[in-house]
Amino acid sequence: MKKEVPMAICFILAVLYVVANYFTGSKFITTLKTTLDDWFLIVTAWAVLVGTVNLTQIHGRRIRAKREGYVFSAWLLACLYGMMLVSILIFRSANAIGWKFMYNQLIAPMNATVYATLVFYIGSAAYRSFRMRSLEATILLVTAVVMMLGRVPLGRMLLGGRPYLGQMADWILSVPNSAGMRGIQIGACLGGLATALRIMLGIERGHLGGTGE
Amino acid sequence: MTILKTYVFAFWVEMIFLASLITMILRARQGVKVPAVYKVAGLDAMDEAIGRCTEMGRPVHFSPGIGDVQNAQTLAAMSILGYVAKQCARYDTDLIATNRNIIVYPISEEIVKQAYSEVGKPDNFKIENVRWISDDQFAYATGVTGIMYREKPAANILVGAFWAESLIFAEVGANAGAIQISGTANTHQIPFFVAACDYCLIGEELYAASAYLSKEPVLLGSLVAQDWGKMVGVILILVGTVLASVKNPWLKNLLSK
Amino acid sequence: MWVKLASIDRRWIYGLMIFVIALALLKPVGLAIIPSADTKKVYDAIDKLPPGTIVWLGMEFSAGGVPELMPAIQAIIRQGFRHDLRFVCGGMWVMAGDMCDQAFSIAKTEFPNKKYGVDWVNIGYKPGNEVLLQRYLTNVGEAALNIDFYLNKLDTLPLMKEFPNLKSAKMLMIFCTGTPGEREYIKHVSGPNNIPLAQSCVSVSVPEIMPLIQAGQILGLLAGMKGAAEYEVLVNKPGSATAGMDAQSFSHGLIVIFMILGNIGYFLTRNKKA
Repeated sequence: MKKEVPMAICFILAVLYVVANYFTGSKFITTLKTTLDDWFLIVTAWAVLVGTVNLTQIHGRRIRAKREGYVFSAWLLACLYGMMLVSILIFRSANAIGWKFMYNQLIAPMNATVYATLVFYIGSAAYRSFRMRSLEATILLVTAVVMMLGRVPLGRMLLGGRPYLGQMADWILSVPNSAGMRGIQIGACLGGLATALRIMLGIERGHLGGTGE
Repeated sequence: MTILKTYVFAFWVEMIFLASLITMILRARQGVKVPAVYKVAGLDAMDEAIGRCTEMGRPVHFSPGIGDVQNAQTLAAMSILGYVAKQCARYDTDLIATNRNIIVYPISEEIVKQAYSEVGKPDNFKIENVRWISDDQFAYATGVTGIMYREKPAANILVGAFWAESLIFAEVGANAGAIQISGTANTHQIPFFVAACDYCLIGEELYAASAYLSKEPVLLGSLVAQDWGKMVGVILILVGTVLASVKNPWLKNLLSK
Repeated sequence: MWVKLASIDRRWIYGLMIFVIALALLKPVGLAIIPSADTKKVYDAIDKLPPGTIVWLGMEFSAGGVPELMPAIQAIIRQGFRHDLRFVCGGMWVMAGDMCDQAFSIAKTEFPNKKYGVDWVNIGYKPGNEVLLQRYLTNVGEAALNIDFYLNKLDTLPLMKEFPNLKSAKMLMIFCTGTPGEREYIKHVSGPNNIPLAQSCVSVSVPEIMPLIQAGQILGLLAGMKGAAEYEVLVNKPGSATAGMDAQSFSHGLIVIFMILGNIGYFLTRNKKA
């Protein structure tokens, strides 16, 4: 029953969602779907507790055993519980000025900073990977150079104001890129649809633990 | 109840696809031979990567992406996690599975635990090796970066739905000296994985992974149905190109129904 | 020496990258920016809208997208306010309200005659992802729980009386860095209801959006910081995107130089090994 019950629930809800997405005219199904969507949001919010327990267990063990870097584990738990308790007990609302300050002045800049580190990783990845090892690698290298210079004003400046690099970059985007993207997206969508149908029919059970039939 | 306007064509396409999928599955169950699947280097390299970790005494790092549980890519990644976990359990190799999505985390834990039980080593399962890092995209990226620098995995398996953090994982993994197998259907991240990883599953290869790794005839049969779907897509493209060239809107109107 | 060219320490790459970007930002050269056809399509589409038209601004991004998208939003707000357009903004992403608040901060200084609640409304973020869009198509007030980002009641705002649902928007202008994004809008809003949809996105998303533009599902695209800089040129108000293009140009040039050096080292060491 450990696998059969989740599979049955999955099948029934999948059929309900397919019907609710494609059909109109049944208030009952629309209301049921809306209710289930709300339940999903509630379960997700409560599931954060499960993750918090896991984090506390892992980092608590590190601190107790004084493993290398345990200070950072202590800092993580301090920030986690500190922010949680302050938000629940003092701010009590996502619209409170203190909460907005913490989010906009701490979390948002940290997110932007990590995102910004991509510029360094792109540089080192491009230097490491774009080597003319084969014909395909050479085409990749030439395309990368054309795109990188053609999509910025530097390309035009290097050619004395002539727009050729930009035009080549636009052609690469419009023709081979679009063709490849369409092909990959059609294949990926069909693959996603097949995976969803296999899960709905209970043929694929990898997500329940164990493989296949 | 009626079908929503503009969804009629999509609904019937889905029903026809479902019918072809069921047909191929029934044929596979009856023992009709399924055509061979072409070699997917990334999936063949899974065993090699796990073997490398076993020899070097270093862990395998696995990330199912940052998508939520409704995302088909995440579910495909869970199937691959099941296979990787089983192999790691068999060879007593540590597996560190990191998760961003809070709903995916208990699923990952259950899959890894189940894998250890299936090979008869339930006591070897370490709960601290399946980790939820954070629900925030870049906090998760930072956490995984830290894990890769500290624990130095010899294999980095990144399969699932990835966004901007994909290159961070791939580059940090390369700096840590790991063999990297990646796969995503997010087309905007495929170029980063192709450039920075040793192997990359592109688009539907990720969805075919469970069939490819398990070699179950029923699952392989569903891949044939996918190929039929692609044939239909090609025919529609060819017919559509001809009709659009002669300015006949018939197919466009049909697709818009 | 050739071996070193093929395996330059990555810290040199990082250091030179910081140096080049910082130098370009502190001492901009002012490379010429020429608006592309896709950017002009968006500009012309907004230009043709009659005064008083309501445009939906979908803020589907977070802090990481600010450098590329915020200049585009502010340029569009400038153009819109000059033409007496009105805006309702919100989104499916958590920071939608904050992004909208940041974008309209220019209204106080540059358009003091424009009033909140009359000329623009910030609904902010509401949970639900694409389900939210479906609910907005029926009734924005109900779906947004009748509260805007600043905790005002939506039914007290004059603009919202003319904006009962998303179909009241004559144009959708969305700013996306990922999912949920343009596909959700095409599926639920612009496709079924024939509302023109234009987009500004980060550069990394441009290749996958090209098929949508060619299919006519998106009428025009502001591609990353370049598109934002082009739009700033069109509205005649250079800003951070224009300043950033020099930095982007020279960082691209540096990466190309490293790629060339890496290949020279690769070939010379390969021949030696052979």
